[in-house]
Amino acid sequence: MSKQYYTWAKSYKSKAQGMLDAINNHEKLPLVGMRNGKPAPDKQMTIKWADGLTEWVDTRFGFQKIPDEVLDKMGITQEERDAMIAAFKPRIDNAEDRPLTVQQQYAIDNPSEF
Amino acid sequence: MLGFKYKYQYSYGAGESGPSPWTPADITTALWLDANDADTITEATGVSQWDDKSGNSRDVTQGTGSRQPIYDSVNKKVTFDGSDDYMKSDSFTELSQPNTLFVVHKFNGGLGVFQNIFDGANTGSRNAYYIDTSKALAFDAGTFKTSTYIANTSDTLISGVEFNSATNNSSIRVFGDPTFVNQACGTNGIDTFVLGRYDIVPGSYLNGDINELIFINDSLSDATRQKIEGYLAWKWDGINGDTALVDALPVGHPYKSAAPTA
Repeated sequence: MSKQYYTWAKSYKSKAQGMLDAINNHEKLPLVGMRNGKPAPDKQMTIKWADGLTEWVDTRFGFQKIPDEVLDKMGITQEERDAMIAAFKPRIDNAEDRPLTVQQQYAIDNPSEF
Repeated sequence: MLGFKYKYQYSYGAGESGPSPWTPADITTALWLDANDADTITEATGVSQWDDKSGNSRDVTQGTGSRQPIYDSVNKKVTFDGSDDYMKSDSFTELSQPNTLFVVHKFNGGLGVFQNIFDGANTGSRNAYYIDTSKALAFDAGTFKTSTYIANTSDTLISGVEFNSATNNSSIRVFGDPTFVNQACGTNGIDTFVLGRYDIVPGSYLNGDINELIFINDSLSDATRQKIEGYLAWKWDGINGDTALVDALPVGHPYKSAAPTA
């Protein structure tokens, strides 16, 4: 399934950061990984959802939407999901509809750095 | 294990035994990632850890959920999304040249931007293998060099890359093809292994699959190089519906008609 992003207009960057902070500091993280169907607490866990906000060349900010199957795995209830969306009001965009990120554009514009 | 592995050759009767298949365990490797071995894959939100089978504990990890690639346990591949996925091993001490890498991989899209299959994390300590904006496979160990191979999104590739500029003997061989050899690409070693992106100028994420990767801190004889090419071609032939891996080995390759044995 295609990835989706929560995105906000530049003027709502603080909302984007607020939602990301709420997710990264959620009590259900860190999430223990599974190996061959069994919990593997001695292996790398998911310690946060996203490192920071992504900026696209259309000036929107955001971060990758957590897939529902991951939210299910974390035990996040539908009520909690709805409450977070209502509080931060992101737009949900499909990854293929997003333009290049600012970093991708930079890489194209500065090939000598490679 | 893959059902199609070595399917054409080891058909011994009950009670019979034959030569065992050659594998990278028969040589000294610096890093060995094998998506055919589910025992090496840990999945949290995506792949959070992919264990190194070389015995050097250079496992690649990713603790940030949105950046974890996805494991396909049916097709035995780790898929990077091209937007922010990557994994990293910090357990490298500097591995100076010569270094040789083999990787079974496929691009899934986004051609026309830089996509790094692997890289280092420091400008002065990087061995990089990537496609550039012209979609050409390229490498860099201090000096970038673009090959004549143009990437596409339909073929699974077996790439062999040697970083060995001390003798101007660096090379990129796709399916063992000797077209792009005797190159100079700089003299850097590598001190951190980053899988799926260029760590210094972010924005060059791999949009593709990796099935297996073998990194060797040495230059290889033709015989050993061909064994690895043969091992990978026979092991992964049929993956992603691509049955051309063995056929793609060059005419005269010693493992064109049978996989290498130990």
